Amino acid sequence: MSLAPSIPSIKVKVGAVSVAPPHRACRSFAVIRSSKAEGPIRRPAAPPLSPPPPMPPKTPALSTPPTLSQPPTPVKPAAPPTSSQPMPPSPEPKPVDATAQMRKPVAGAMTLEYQRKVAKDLQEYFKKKKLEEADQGPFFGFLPKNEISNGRWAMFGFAVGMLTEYATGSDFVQQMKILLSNFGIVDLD
Amino acid sequence: MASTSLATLPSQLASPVRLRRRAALSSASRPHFLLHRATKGGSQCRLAVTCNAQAVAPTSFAQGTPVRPTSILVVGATGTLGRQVVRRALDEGYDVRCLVRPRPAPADFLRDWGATVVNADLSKPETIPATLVGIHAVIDCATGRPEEPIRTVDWEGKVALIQCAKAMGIQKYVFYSIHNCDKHPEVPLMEIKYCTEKFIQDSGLDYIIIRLCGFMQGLIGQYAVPILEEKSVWGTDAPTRIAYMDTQDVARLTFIAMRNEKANKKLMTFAGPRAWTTQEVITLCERLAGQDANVTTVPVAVLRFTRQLTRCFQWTNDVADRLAFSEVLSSDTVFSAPMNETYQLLGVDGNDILSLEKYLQDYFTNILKKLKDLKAQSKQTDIFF
Repeated sequence: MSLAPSIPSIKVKVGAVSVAPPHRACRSFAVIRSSKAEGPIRRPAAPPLSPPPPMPPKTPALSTPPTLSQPPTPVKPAAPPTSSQPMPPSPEPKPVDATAQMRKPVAGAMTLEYQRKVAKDLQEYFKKKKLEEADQGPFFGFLPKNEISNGRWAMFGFAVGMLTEYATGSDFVQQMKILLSNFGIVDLD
Repeated sequence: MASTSLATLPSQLASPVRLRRRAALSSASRPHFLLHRATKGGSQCRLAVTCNAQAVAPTSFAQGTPVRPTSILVVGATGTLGRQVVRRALDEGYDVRCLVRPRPAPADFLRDWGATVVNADLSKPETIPATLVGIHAVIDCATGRPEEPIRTVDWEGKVALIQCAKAMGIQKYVFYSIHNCDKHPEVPLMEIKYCTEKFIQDSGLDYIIIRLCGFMQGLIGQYAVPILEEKSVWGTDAPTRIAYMDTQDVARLTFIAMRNEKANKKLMTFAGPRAWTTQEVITLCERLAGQDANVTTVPVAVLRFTRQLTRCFQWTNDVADRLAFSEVLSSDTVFSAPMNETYQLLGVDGNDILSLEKYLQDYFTNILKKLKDLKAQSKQTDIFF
C-alpha cells in the first residue's frame, strides 16, 4: 500500500526533470550571482577581524599561539578567501540541480521563509512533546516517579525516628506511646 | 499544514528508539526486522514531506530568499575542536553562526572573530529550530560537559538536532565521532556516538561522519604545563597508543571534505601520523622542556575499581560513565587508522599533517621564549598569557 503511491510520484518528478532543466540552470546562475553580490559585503568585515581577536582563557591560550600568528599577517588571510571564493560556486549548481531534480520539497527548503515556517512548527512540536512527556501516566500507581517519592518519604521517616531516639533517648515503642497519649487516643501514662 | 508537518516528526522520532534496541540486541534476525520498519518509516516521512512541500512550494518559490551555500552553523563552537573549526571557517570566507548555550561567561572571542553567536541549548530541544533558519550546513562539535549526563546532550540533544536539520532541509551535516566506537558498546559515550552515526545514516541527510582518535591540544594542559611548572604529572601504565592530531588539521581537512563531492555520505577516520603511549609523550615533553618530570603512574586497575565504586551510587553515575574509558585503555592496543585512502580521497598530501614532535617543539619554543622575555622563572605557579 505505501509503496504504490511513492512510485508514481517519482515518475512525475522524472517527467518534470526533462522539461525544466534549462530554467533551473538559469536559477542556479541567479543564485551564484546573488552569492557573489554579497561577497564584497563580507570583505570589509575581514580587516577588523585581524586586530581585535582576544586572548582566550589559559588552556586555549597555550594552544592558540599558532592561530594568533595568522591574523597579523595580511597576506595569509588574503590568500585563503581568494582560494575559497572559486571553490563554493563549483559545488553550488550541482547540488542545487540535484535537489531540484529530485524533489520539490528540498528545493522549497532552500528558502528562508520555508525554514522559518518549519522552525516554528518544530518549536511547537517540541513544546507539545515536553508537555506530553510530563503528563504521561496516571496519578496513582506503581510509577517510577511515585516509587521514588515513596522511597524518599520512607527514608525521611526513618531518619526522623532515629534522630529523635538519639536526641531524647526514647526508643520506638516509647515514641509510639507518647504519640498516642498526646493525641488523646489512649491514656498510657 | 501544521498537522502534516507534525505527522512527519513522530515517525522520525520512532527511529532512535529502534536504534537503541538495535544496539542493545545482538541477534541477527531482529535487526533485519527493525530495518524493514525503518525503511517503512523513511518512506512515510518522504511521502508526508512531499505533500507538505507541494502546498508550500509555489509560495516559497515566489517569495522565498534562497539560503546561501556559505552559511554554516557550528554546534559546540567553544570547545577545543569547535573554536578551530570556527576560525578555519572564517578564514575561508564562510558565514559562521555559533550555537552557544547561555552561561555566565559568554563566548565573546567568537564574536570578536567575526562569527554570529546565537543562544540555544541542546538539552532544550525547543531552542534549536530557530538557530537553523538560513543555514546551509551544520558542523556538530558538541559534547556534554563533565558535570552533566552524557545522555541528555549527546543523545537526546543530538537526535533533536538531526531531526530539525532533516525537517528544515539542511544540505550537509558533519558529525564528529570516536574511532572504534562500534567496538566498545560497554562505554556509554562510544555507544551513543555509534547510535548517532546510525541515526544520521538512516535519516537521509547528506552527511560526513569523521571519527577522531585524539587531539594534541589536550596534552598541553595534561603533560607539558605540569612539566614546566615542576609539578606532578599523572599518567597511566596502559599500553594503549593514540595517534594524536592537531585540531587545526582536523578543521582544515573537514572543510576540504565538505567541498569534495566524493566525501559525501562517507565515514572517515582522522588519525595522526604516529601513535604514542602516555609514557612516550611524557618522555618527549621531558626532552623538549630540558628537565625531568615527576611522574605519578596510576594503574588501570585503580581506575577500574574507582569506576565500580562510583557505579554504586546514583549521584556518581555520571563519573562512572566518564571512567568507562578505562575499559578502552585496557582493551584496545592502537588508537590509530591508516590514512592513505582518506588522503587520496580528499586530495591532501600526508606530509602536510602536523606531527606531535613538531607541535610540541613549536609549543616549547614559544613558551620558553615568552618566559625568557618576561624574565620569569620556570617554577612560577601562575602564568597568564
